[in-house]
Amino acid sequence: MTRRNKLLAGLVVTAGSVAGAFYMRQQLQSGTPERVGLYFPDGTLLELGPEDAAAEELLKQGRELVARARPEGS
Amino acid sequence: MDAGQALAELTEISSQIDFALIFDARGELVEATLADRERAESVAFGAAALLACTTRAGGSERGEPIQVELTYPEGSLLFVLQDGLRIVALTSPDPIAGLAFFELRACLRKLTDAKPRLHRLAALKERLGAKTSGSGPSSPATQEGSNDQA
Repeated sequence: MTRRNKLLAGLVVTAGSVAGAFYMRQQLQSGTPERVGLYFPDGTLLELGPEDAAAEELLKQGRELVARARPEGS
Repeated sequence: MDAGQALAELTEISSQIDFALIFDARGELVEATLADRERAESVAFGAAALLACTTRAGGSERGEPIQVELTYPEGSLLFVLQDGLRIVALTSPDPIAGLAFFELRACLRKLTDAKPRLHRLAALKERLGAKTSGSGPSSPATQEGSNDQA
């Protein structure tokens, strides 16, 4: 391996580490992602992310429920 | 055990549950940990409507889900459906969902298990009442007794 290739490999590893650290930081900052889990009697689990229209509607309804349960300002 | 007692035990056992309420399939409130009854009734009604939407989201071939989890960064809304009763609870962020579901189901089971016992007690009372009123020689209990003596 030439000196130039070594330098290039080092740069790739460093760039990957920086990108990975940035991604992890973003994930930690954003907290738990919103999602819906539906568990059925046959043991199957249907997971829907917020990009799914049905999940978006359910998450919206859920948020409204929490708002109803909690008095304003609490 | 009544619903209030079951919910009190639930919130005592589980530190991750913020509030919980029990309602029926029509959205009528049975009991809640929320102090404001009117508010709790409104939440129960909304929760029943939300559960109706989950059935549509899952597809008609799968039927009604038995558990539903809505996850938010601030906490999760967990629903458990058992027989004619439903329970919904708001948890703290990142709950141990499996444990919370188990506790919610156990809470509902306390109520559904109590029902048959009450039915059995009522049936026993009815039989005892029939025995005391029907004390003639034609009553089956008396006939059994006379057979034993013979």
